[in-house]
Amino acid sequence: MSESLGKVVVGMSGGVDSSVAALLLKQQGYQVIGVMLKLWSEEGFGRDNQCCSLESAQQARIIASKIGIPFYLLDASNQFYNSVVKPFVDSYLCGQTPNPCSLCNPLVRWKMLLDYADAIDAQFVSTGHYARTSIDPDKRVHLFRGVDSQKDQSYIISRLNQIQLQRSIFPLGIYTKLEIRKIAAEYELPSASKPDSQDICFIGDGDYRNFLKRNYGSLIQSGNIVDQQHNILGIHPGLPFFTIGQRKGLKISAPEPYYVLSKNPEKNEVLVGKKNDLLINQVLIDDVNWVSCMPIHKPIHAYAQFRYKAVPKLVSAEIQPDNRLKIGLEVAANDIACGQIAVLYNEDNEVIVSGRIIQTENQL
Amino acid sequence: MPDISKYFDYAATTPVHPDVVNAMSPYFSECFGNPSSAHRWGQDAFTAVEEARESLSKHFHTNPENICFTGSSTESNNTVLNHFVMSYWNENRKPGHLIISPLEHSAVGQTAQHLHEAGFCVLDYLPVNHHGIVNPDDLSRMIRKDTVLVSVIYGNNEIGSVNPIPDLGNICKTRNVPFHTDATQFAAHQLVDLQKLPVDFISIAAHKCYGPKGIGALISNSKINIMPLIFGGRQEKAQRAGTHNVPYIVGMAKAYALLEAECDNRIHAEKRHRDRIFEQISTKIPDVVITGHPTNRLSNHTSFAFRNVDGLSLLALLDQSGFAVSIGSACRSTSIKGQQQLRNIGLDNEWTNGGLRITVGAFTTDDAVDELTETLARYISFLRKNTR
Repeated sequence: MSESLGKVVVGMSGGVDSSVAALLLKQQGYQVIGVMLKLWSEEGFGRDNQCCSLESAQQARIIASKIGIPFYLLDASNQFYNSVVKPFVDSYLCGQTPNPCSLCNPLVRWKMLLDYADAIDAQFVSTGHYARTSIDPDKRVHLFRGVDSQKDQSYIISRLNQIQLQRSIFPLGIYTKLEIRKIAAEYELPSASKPDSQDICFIGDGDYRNFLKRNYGSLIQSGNIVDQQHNILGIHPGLPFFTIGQRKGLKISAPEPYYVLSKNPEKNEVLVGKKNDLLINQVLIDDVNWVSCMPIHKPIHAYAQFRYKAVPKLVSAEIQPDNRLKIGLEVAANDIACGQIAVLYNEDNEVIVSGRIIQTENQL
Repeated sequence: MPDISKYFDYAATTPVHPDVVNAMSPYFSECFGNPSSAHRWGQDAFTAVEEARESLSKHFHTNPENICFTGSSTESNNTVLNHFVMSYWNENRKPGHLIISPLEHSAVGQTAQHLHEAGFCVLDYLPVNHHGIVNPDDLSRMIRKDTVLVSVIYGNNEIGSVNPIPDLGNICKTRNVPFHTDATQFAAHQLVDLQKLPVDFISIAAHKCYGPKGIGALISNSKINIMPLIFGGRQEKAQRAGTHNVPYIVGMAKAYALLEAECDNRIHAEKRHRDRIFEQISTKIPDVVITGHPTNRLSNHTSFAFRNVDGLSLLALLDQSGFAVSIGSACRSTSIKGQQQLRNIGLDNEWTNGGLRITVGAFTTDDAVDELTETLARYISFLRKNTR
């Protein structure tokens, strides 16, 4: 087979998606090199980082040999710890709800893959993410949702910058998961998916609350649970143990249930209110990434996604003098947390801009 | 096909010598018999096995009956540790005392650990110096009345250092304690004379010495009945059940016969390439240490630690340039902690991820060495720049 399209370094997990990605690229005529990144994980729990256990490394090695490509394990544990785990902890301690994957992709995964690609003169990197890209006449890459709306991962990929995207190939974006499984079966690749769990890959027992308690317990202090009138309704064991919208575990007896509205790190207070009080119609984001265009200085109308796999909401957004972006929701919503990523799409399912949520409010 | 002159991992395994392939070949086809069979086919195979035994016994200067064929050096190590630990246990119903070095190959290290964890022995580790070498005085001090076995690796697989096996053996002899050495690497590069060497058992394999994989032997210098690890037949005087692997046994004997014939030339060539690598890397690359002893080491073995370099990346880069090297076993537990052996010789975190083993052999050339060290220097400077 001619391998004239150049070298591509594929991040492999041992799961079906990245395996088929490697296979498709090889079939398209690329010279494919498989790589697994060994990430940091909490020790003493008898399990590796879920993304890169020794078992999955072994599995990926078997798959690579089946496809007929070289495979290497690279150690990204230091980078992962510094760029993902530390900010994750800091974010929780500041009263936010961080999204570690959004940091991992641009700062660890793509950095390591591109560094390795540079060293071996490979032009491209690739993964098994479900997202699509296209190139415009100015050579700028545009990012779109994958065609399988159930599996679309453009939300996470939206944190990559233009330079990273220009060197990325997402072979799965034009397929559905079902089609990928069929390809895997046809070529006798293992078709098991990694569990699409909400667990965070690096935490020993999968529970972030216990992880924070075990490792940063001394930095977490109990404080007051207050309502919007500043009445003290109870005591909380620490801000990180609560997320916005949480109802359980507040231990307040009242005829109507209370929900966590926000967390105030300065006062170490959890603010609670009724379900209606959760509604948010204004969001401020920083770390703004205009994926394929210069910042747009007039108001834009878009569909915003505030969590991975959340239903997109109709919004209008306006850039602020400090380059942050203020997003107004047409209809107030109640599941938006600081620390998560907001991604704005146009009607063609193209990602326009993404950023980290730093402030939410309900403006009447 | 990859360029074999760029293969620098002879300590992992070696290509099978063409003469060895030729010697083995009939025993896959026309002489396929089972040595335990009474008919002529069996008798021919039996003769082949016994001739191989004879040849190996001459090479190691012991009696043919002292050679027990196994499936690997790892199996030999397991067998000998199991024999001495379990014999004591069976007789006394209490754990005996086992002494090993902390730099054993895991075939000894993990076996000892397993026997210890199961309660069958008390396990003590000899201290090592910063070259990973055992001091005989420590052994004298540590031997107890209930010491069942001392096992110390001859030439270290990861850092190349050679232990003072004659001195250690003499101490054991004086104190009447059985002594075993894992000579898998050493015996593949040096002649071992069991008439002169005061050891009771050595473990060897064929595949480090241009023989086939999957065959080894446990060799003693006197007649001792070993407790089997594998049951189910009377082969090897009931010490190791299972049909003899005739072609591989023949191949192993041929491999060691070739070593004997070519030994001086091989050692000379290996040392020349080894020292060329040492010299070039020391001059071309900053922030590097030689791991293991610089001269008292395996003749084909160089090993290094590079400060602030990740060995996995290095291996992945070198392989893409066609060079095969080894970085030791980096993934030992849930996280990568660097090479345990490098920790044992006192290197800290800045160094333990940057271990690299370059071992030379029959197909190594000066040109390949020069190109390897240049490529290595380039990649190390690249990796250091990127992690800063």
